[in-house]
Amino acid sequence: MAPRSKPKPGEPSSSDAAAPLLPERCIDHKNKNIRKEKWRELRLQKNKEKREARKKRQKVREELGKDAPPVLQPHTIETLRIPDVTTVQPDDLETQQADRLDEFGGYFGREAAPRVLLTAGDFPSPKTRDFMKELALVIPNTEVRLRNFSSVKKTARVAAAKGYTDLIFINEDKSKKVMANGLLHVHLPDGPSALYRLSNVKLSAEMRRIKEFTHHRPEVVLNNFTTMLGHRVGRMLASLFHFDPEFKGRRVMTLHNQRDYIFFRHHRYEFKNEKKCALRELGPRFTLKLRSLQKGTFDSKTGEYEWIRKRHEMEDSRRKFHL
Amino acid sequence: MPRHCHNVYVGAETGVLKGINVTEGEVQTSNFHNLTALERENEICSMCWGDDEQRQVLLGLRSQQVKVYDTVQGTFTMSRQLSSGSGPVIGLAKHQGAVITAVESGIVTLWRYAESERVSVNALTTGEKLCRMRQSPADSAVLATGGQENDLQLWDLARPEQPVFRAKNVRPDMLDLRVPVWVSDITFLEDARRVATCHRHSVVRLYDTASGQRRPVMSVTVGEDEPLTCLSRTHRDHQVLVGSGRGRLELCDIRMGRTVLALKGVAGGVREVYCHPERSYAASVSLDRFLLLHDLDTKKLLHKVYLKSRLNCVLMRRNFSLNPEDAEEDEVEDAAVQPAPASTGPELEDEEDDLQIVEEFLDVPPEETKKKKKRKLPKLKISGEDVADASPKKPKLPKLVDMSKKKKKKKVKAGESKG
Repeated sequence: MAPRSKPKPGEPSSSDAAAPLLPERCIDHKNKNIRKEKWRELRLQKNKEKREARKKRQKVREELGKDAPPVLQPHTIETLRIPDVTTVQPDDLETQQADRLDEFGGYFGREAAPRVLLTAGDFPSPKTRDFMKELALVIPNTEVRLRNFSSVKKTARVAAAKGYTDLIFINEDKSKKVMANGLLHVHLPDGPSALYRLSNVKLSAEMRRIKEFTHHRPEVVLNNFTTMLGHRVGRMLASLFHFDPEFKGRRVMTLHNQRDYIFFRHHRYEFKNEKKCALRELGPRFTLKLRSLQKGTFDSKTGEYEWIRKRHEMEDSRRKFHL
Repeated sequence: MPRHCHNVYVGAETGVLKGINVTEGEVQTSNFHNLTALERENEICSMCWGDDEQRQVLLGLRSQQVKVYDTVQGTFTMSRQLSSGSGPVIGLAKHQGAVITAVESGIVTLWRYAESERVSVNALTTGEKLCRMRQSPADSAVLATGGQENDLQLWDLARPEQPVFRAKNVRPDMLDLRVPVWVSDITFLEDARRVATCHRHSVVRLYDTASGQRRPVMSVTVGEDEPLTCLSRTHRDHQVLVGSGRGRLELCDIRMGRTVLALKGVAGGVREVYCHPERSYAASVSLDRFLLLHDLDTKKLLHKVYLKSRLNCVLMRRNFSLNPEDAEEDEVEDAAVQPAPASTGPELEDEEDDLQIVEEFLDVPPEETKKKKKRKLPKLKISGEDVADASPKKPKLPKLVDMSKKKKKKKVKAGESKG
């Protein structure tokens, strides 16, 4: 794709010449067919100009060789992102100290290995049960239990007493025949708890080929968690997996954040040579979107939230992201 | 260099005290702690001004320590480990130069220099934990406490055996079920006889302590399932600002009995709000690590300051203003009204000493404390305008005088009738 560069106000450019003509030629004509035709012509002309400009740039680059100007980067929503004040600086002393003191300090200090309890609502549908089984294969040291009509608060209390470090609840909406649509992750014993919207669940059985995977402890890749909230959510998600990966298994879990959606993927990798690496996706895959992060274990009525999504107040710009 | 270079102070969950200088155009922040030696136990749970000149800041920590920060010298001058009850320090106040502390297990203590003169109150005879202790602005011996399953109580330190006022829960609901109580914050209104509380069960209640009615005179529901965590009275007597654990900040009108406006810009649970008593500024700190400064008249968000740690407490100076000239004018007036601060230098150096400033405490003649024993809660007629007319800038001092006069008159009358 050709780079879209906005012309600066003082700078004359080819698109500038066409732009002022737009209202008279295209929009203000009464006949719609003519309007359409004019618009098509304009597009064609613009595309042609773009193509020519690109060819010209390529020529210049070939001529100059090493001294050529760098290739223009295309504008995407990510590159145009509104800068966030809470972006974590790795060398910031206060953040480092806060990390040491927070609820995951024990995990990152390699003191306690995670032990996860995985459950769903009462009477989970067969699909949700399959999803839970697959998640249990993906997250090491996980136990799948039936909910047994227990409340979230009571489950959290009992699980904390029994020495579990994390608790995952899968929510499903049976009325709309949706399999799983929510995921609540409670870190024990002191929280925090995160509520995600779960979507695009695809089990490994549904993927193109069923692949085998070993039970080695996986590596975890956290991508693109830049803000303070993202940093915290990333730490929380990382603390689900054992801190000591077994590299022999060549399994890698990726939690990739893009535009506030967290994509989960599971791969086996193989280094073909020094430069090339082959990936094979093993599944399951799903997408998470953070709805709230609560301080302490789950208490939706009287608890306090560290962050809560407010749609109309926060999501006023497409280029503002929170993670 | 100005006398005070910071006009807002903020206490963080990591135990860091931060000073912020907010002006119209710019915001400067500075940390007063060494960032390499932070401990979770040192979380700042409560803060208050240590003196009338707003020179010292008292900090109550999770580890039951009370620290004194001197804003002029820029150092921590005192630190003392409490030895009463358990749990974090959830309330701090100053009474006749001595410090009053309240801890989560319910023990409220007035720390006198002599051990025999210390006053200790157990405010948690029922319930699970104490959540807040606040001091009456009119009478520094009157305290209000409340907590989880522990409704509002007013205490007079001169008569510590019994609470002077004990609130009664509202009547059972339409299903005849008991309404749960979880007082999360308390504030005294302008006339000091009315007290407003906010509850984790999304309700603001107003009590009139002089009316003889123990049930709330007004109960306002704010939102749906909004765990209200903090409350502050504003520059208008009939309005209180309420913050919730779900990140809502609402101005609640207790004359109309409903919320009148919601302030924008909060993403996490509000931990404390602090409104300027005379101007329309409101500062709030929340778990999303921002300090927000709103204008209550225009509803506008004036400043949003990122402070890197989750924040628990906020204090604002009396002369706070976005326009530095106004603040300086106030300072001059303050200096004129109040006597110059006594040189506390030698006392402050003595770190082994007790928390309170001994001189100030000794200055108080014993007769006055005796008088206080007989004193009931101040029965003042509510006339906000009169008070405002009499003292537009500093309402506290004239009111105190008023009260003592009235009390004397009453006493005389009572004596006559008895005689």
